This record gives sequence, C-alpha cells and structure tokens, in this order.
Amino acid sequence: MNANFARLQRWWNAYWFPTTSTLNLAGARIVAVAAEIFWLFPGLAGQINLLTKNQQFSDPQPLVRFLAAVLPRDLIFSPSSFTVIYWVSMIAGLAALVGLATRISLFLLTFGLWFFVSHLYSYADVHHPQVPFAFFLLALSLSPAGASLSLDALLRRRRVGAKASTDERSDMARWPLKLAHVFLSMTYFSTGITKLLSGGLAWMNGYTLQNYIFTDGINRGIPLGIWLAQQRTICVLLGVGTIAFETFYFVSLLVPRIAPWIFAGGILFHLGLYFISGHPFFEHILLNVILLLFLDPNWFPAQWRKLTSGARSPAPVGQSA
Amino acid sequence: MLPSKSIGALVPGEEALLYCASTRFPNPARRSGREVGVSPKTRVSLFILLLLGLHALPVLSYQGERQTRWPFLAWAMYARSYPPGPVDMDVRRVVATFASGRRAIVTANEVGLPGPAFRKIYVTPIFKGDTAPARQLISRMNAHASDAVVELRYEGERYELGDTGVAKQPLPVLTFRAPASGQ
Repeated sequence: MNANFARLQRWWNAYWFPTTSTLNLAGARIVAVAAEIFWLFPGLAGQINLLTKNQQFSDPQPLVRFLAAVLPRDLIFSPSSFTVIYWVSMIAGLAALVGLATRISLFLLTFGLWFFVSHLYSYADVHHPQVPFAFFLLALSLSPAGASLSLDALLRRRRVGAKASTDERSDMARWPLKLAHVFLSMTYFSTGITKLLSGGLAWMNGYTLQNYIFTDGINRGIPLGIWLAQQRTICVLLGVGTIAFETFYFVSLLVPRIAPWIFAGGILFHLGLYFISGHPFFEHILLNVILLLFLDPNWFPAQWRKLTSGARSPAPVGQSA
Repeated sequence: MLPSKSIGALVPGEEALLYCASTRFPNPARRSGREVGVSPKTRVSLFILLLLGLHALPVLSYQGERQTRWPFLAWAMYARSYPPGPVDMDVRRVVATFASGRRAIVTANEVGLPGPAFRKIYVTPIFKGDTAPARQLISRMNAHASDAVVELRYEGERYELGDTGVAKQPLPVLTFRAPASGQ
C-alpha cells in the first residue's frame, strides 16, 4: 500500500512539479496579463449600467453572494466602489505585466476579473468563455510567475549581485501551464461527450450544425454563417470535426508529442467558431496559444530550426547550378 | 494518530493532556527555525485537486441554463441534435414610442440586462401569448425615465432555411399601450 502510494506520489510530482526554467512561465504571464488588461477585462461602463438598472441580482453567483453576505450591499455594489475595484485591477494588471510585486498584483487582477465576471453573470445569463482563463490567472498568482522577465527578478539580482542567475529554475514553474492543459481537456471532453450522450451520433448528421449555424448567423448577422448553413456536406464534415476535436483533445495529455498540433487545432477551431457563428471564445484561443508557445519549451524552437535548416540546406549534388 | 503502545491504556482526557504537553515542550524543529508546516507542493497539490474536484458539483447536481456556481459550470452546450427538416429562426424587436413622439428600438443595454436575459424575460414570452412581460417592461423603463414609454410594439421576421434557400416572412405585430397615469 505504502509502495503504491509512494509510486503515485512520484508520478504526481514528476507530472506537476518537474524542475524547469521559470522563463516559460514568465512568458505565459506576460502574454496572459497583456491580453487581459488590454483586451479581455470586462468594461466598467457595462458593469455600472447593470448595477444601476437592477434593484437586485436574479441569479447571484457565489462570489457575489459571499460579498453581499459579509459586506453591506451599498459598500461594494455601488458605482464608486466598482470604479475603485476596476482601476485597482488595472493598476495591478500593469504591475503584473512588468513583474512588480508579481504575486500580489496577479492576485488583485484575478480578484477583479472574478468579481466583475461574477457580477455580470448574476443577472440570469451565464456563459463559459472566461472560466479556464480565470483559473489560469489564479494559478499564476500562486506560482513563481515573476521569477524571470520581471522587475522583481531585476531587483533581486541587484541585491545579490553578479552571482545571481538570469535563468531561475524551480519545480513550481510548470504546474499552472499543466493545470490549464488538464482543465481545457476536461472542459472540451465534457462538451464533446455531452453532445454524444444527449444528441447521439445524429449530432454529426449535418442538419444539427446547419440548425445551430443558421440561427446564430441570422441572430448575429453573419453572412458567412448563413451561407455555410446551406452547405450540408460541409456541415457534416464540421460536425465530425467538432466531435473529434472536443472528445479527443485529452489525448494531448497522454501523447505530449502531438499536443502542439492539437493546441494549433484548438486555435483554428475557435477562430472558425467566431467567424462562422460569432462565439467569442477568445480566452480559449489565448490559452491554446500560451500552451503552444510555453508548455513544451523545446517544441517551437525545434520546429523553427527544422524549418530554417530545411530552407538553408544546400541543393543535392547534380542539381546545383 | 499515536501508536497504541505509546498511549497505553488511554482514558478520556488523556489525549488532551498529550496535546498540552506538546506546547510545554515545543517541537525542536520549530524552535530551531526550520519550517515544519505543509510544503508548497502539498499546498499546490491540494489546490489542484480541489479545483478539479469541484467540477464534479455541476455535473452531479445539474442546474440547467440558470447556473449559479460560476466558475464551476456544467459544459453542456449545443448538445441537442436535430433531424432533417426546415430550420427556422425568429428575429424579434421591441420598438418603444415615447411621450415626446420619439420611436426607438429597445435594447438590452437600455433596460440593464444581458441580451439573452432580456430576450428570455421580456421578448420571447410575448410571442407565446403571455402579455405580462410587456407591462413589466413598460413600468421598468418608466421607473426612472424623463421621457416615458407610451407604447411598445413587438415585431419581427421569421427566416426559414429550406431546400431552395432562405425565405423571410413577417411575424404578427403586437402592440401594448402603457396604462394611463393614475391607473
């Protein structure tokens, strides 16, 4: 029993906590935070509009319920408090971007995101896009994401002097990326398997996707979607592709060699969803980009070297001019 | 748990005594400044397990469309399949006429709701024969308005995708007047 537990523990530690450079995590931090503060963070005007035009929440989310229970409603759910929380989050985001007091900054940014998304979804309308990214930001705030490529690292090196290495290594530098990978696999699998359990193989009959694409296309005014909804053969192929992608995304966990190709597939999948049906899963695109660039630090440079060495290799003898 | 031989014949109250003893004779590791708490790896492992484990909650107790456990949600999206046959889609609008004579399409933003919630609460039920949401919408819009709504006009089109392409038909127009003041 103890031997089995020890083996499990070794496997667990080897999976989540390998000693690696912190550079990748820092790169992921910079991409994630920049995208969040300059692109994805919920707008303040929309939040205040919801707040001032509703006397109460119709379906309050856990964080909203918690805050409303422990604090007077007027203290936190007022336009002035929202403005303060918004700007504190933005300033914390900028600090996290440059890596100043990185953990605290990341935590404040994450709190701001969770708070505003929870508030947005407390009025009878809940969506999924922000979920994996919100977890990823929370994980970053608990990791050494500021150990490299940050003002924190620069200040530490100044204190220590020339002895300090510019490439910090840590056994805690990989788990946030792995968590994002596991989490995406879980959510895709859940979505895919639900389609098969609820809709059965008929989900891939083409008519199903024609239905969804047509209603979204009309509702959101997307000419490409309206045209595609009239092409049944393409809808059959897209239906098979959707089920295959969602249900088997988790294979990237088991076969790391093919994972980058699946991440690239994820980026194309969500771009397709956006341009055909208007589904704004930008956070999923971003997480797949982050995993593609930073999960396996060697994959991208290796592909680049392969590409450039192929281009530079001399022509075979006999074919040269 | 302590091994039984070190406890001996344990009687109620002795366990408490043992814990008291540990405070009188502190752990040497703690006294020497070495860390004795839970390691960062253990803390992170528990965090990971908790985060992943909590996702069982929305699966085990499914709430349907109105989920109240963000960010722990069920991911059952677009799961239904459709048989062959015509596909139709209704586009509906609510047009308000104000006391000043101005006419404008009522938007979710103006009402202060997310788009899907606005449609679900104030638009779709009207076309199913429930007139109460129209009166509620008028009173909601007039609660703080300087230019009061006097009439709501529900209109729209039905788009049908068939073998020959997309056909468009107008939906019946439904009109609701605001109750006169004092009523």
